[in-house]
Amino acid sequence: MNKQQTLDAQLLSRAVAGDADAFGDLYERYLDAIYHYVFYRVNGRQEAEDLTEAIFLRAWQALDTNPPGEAPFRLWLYCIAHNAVVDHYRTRKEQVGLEAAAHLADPKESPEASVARRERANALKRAMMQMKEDHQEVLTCRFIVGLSHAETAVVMSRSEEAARALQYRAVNALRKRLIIQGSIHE
Amino acid sequence: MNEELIQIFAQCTEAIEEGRLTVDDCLDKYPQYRAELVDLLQVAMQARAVPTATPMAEFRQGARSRLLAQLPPRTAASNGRATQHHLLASAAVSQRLQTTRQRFVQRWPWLSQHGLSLSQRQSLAIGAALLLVFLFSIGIWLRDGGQSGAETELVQDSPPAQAEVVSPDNETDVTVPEMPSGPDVIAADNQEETTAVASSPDESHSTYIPVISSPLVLNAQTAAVEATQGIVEVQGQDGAWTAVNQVTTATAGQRVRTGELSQATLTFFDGSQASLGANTEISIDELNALRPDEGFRTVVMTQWVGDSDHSVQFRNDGGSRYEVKTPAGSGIARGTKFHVLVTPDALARYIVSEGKVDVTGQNRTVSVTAGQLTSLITGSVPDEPVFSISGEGEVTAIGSVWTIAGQTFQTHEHTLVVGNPQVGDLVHVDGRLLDDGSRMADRIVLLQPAVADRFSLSGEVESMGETWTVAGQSIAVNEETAIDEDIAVGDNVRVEGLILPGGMLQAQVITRLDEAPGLSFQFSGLVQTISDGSWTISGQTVALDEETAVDDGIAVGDVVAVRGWILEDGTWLATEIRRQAGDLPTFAFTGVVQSTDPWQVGGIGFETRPWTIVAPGIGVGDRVQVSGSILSDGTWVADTITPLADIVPNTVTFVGVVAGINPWVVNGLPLVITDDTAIIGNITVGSLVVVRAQLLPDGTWAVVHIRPLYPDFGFGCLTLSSPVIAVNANTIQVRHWQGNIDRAHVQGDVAVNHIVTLPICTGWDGTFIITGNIIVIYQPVVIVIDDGGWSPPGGVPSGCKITGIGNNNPHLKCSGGGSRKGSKRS
Repeated sequence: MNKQQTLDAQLLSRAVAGDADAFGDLYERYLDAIYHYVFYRVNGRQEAEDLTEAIFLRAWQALDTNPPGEAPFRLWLYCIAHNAVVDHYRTRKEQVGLEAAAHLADPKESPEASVARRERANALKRAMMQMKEDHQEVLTCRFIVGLSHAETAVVMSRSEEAARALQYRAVNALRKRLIIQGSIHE
Repeated sequence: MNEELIQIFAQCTEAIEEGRLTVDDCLDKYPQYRAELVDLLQVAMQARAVPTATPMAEFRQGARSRLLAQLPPRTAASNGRATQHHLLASAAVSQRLQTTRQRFVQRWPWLSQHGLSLSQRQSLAIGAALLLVFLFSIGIWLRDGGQSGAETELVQDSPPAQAEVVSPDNETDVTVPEMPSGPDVIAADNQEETTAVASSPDESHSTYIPVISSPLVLNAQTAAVEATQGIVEVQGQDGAWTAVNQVTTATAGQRVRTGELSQATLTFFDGSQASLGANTEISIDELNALRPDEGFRTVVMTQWVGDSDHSVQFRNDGGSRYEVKTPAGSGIARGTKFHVLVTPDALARYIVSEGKVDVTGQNRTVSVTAGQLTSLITGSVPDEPVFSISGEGEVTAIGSVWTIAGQTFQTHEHTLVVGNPQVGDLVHVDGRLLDDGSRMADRIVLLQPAVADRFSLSGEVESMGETWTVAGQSIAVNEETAIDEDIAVGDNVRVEGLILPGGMLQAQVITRLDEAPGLSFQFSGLVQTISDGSWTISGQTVALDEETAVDDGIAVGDVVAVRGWILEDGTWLATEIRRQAGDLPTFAFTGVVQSTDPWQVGGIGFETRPWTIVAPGIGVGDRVQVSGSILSDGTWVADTITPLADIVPNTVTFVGVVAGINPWVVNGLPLVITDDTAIIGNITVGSLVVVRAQLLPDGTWAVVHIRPLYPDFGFGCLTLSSPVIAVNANTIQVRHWQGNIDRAHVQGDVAVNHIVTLPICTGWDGTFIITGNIIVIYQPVVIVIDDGGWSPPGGVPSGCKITGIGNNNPHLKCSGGGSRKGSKRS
């Protein structure tokens, strides 16, 4: 277990015992990671913020009935996030306009590079939002969040073989969308 | 889809993420796939390079305190599973209740993951626990007195079996009524959590179980009626029929009936049980099922139509009666297992599997022993008992003489044929063995239509017209092909259909693939409940939305065919609900294996049979595709269970006879065998095989595997009952089977006149194989009666004495509860 996992385990143990402050520490440690995941799965910043908060509320409740056990806390949290996004889409009646990733600036980049990267991010997000949910999910888990095939399989409740096959199909489908959009050329 | 490319792409992305390779390294490493990898990796890397999204400063500020303010208080950790209380019930009820419990327990993770509020969980937990409690309490028997205090466990005499109750978690607040005590009551540990369990009123011989709306009172004058499957109704004194919600009681004067695909079980106070099949109706005529230490048992019912199985607690007290009447006659049993069939034209058949039943019609009584059956129609005397034969097998000839499982069966005017089976179909046959050695079929029921030559194909539409081209394959379409609207060239579609003679692919369904929201399912079943947005069909909840197409006029009790998608969250969303056309109900769905014994996938329980093809190595946690048929009693029986990873797209599956090996030719179709082709089992020219092949873009078919159709089942398997006519050192002979039988197959001791069951399967080559143990099911005891000086051969067994000679009812009465009835011999 590395340092991060050790600290997670200590905080988790206190949180399971009812220590809200310990859970607050976990929240601060994983807020950015979960927000990053959610942002590329939903339409806008406000939605991402609301859903991120809701995910952690679910996690607090799930400590009672479905605690992480042997699984790393981070992975367990992504599973909860995945389910929350699924529920979010199931209950939404209409799509709102896609909010551009205008606020995603990297201070180390030149303005031109930053604009170009944001354009690509917008194009990618636009294409992804028109794809099937499981395609979106595998692309987000594998490439946007950086989970391994095994971790992606756990989050999506599939076998690793199935996750690899889904990844292949999703990337193919994304490529077609990007071509149709004119974002890349054949 | 190219499996190798999938793996290479996955390995490349992993290696690039871990820094072991660059994109160029991958392209150099796999030159054969360079063109494809360039495209794929370009997109993958673009996705990897998206900027990191982080919350705005305004959100981050105060995020922690906002969250903490919303966190509900949590108690000290519990294990998530509340106290379990053990209640003993009859074995049959316990078996079903275990299944119910498994389904209930599987719901907990779903509840947790969907983040229901604690109060919602509490409510559901309380309701579910109470439901479980009164279900388990069906087998609770007599208790005396009362005892205050905590919950207790109730024990019944025999047959005992374990059953579990999951009670709510610590936060619930359910009070327990006072419990009776007595020599058979075991006090449980004193615990804070409580459940609603049985308590006893002042009467000493009844058990009172308070439930949500009405009490379930069990005593000698009531029977517990459990709706084990589908729709079960009880007719009240006012003549109105009321649907049974899980379990209720019935008394003398009431009727019980089951609908299509439905089953019910009646449990009597003495432990005897009657199981009703689909479309069955009985009336309870007399009911006083006292236990042996209380007096004579009287259970008399009339079966008006349908099937029932009876398991009767043994009594030989000279006064107890368990009688099943029919419009044609009646049968009385003392300690027996038997089946009663009443056909719509009022033919009655009693089939005995254990013990003996006396069947009376027109004042004539015949004794039907284990392994025998008798039939009678209204106004006639019962037929002389004959030995039975039953089993499952392929139909290879139909007409006045059928060939089933490799054996010929005559038919008669009352032979019941259900489901319109044809040559090639799999059927169940019930029949009898005639003295001349021939076999007579009394009932033939379709189990599974012949394995059709089918294909499924996914790919891009390249051309459309009278013939479509999809993924390089020519597909014929006609006016019966169901095609999604607005499909255009370039769309990804899924095509399912039949393989016509000559290899032509005929599309039955063409679905646009891009819009598929999940994995498809289809099944037929009985409509049990209808409400806005949600129906229950054969126990499965399906959701409906505004796009679900529903035939007009469907009502509860109808059998329907449902198609739809299993969504990511596990919801079964119906796209259409149609009236079932009368074909054999079938099902197909995908899910995760939750258990293999019994089988449960995606929350659906089903059974397997000898002909079920189960891919090797399937275990809990695997995602599989299950397809099968639904029997007339509502049981789901799988035909195939296949890992989803093995479901290679663009495949065909067909059955045929091997005409040639190297080169392989099956059904006249030449097959391409590759290094990856699996040839399973011993296949020779002439073998009947299942071929699974992948359709390649160049139009050829590359074989994935070839296997025997039903390797362990052949043409079919039948079990016949027959008396032993000779016993030798190493072999025995039975009346209805030619030739010697290896005595090693016989379980236990065997002698002449013993009745045995013989399980026989017919292989594809026509040879007969005894596939299981030969079991002695009846050993007649012969007592010679004369005017004096008589003693039974071999002396009276220890602990027994002869009694009843004076009242013409001679039998041995043995201490310890057993007695055997003899027959007179002049």
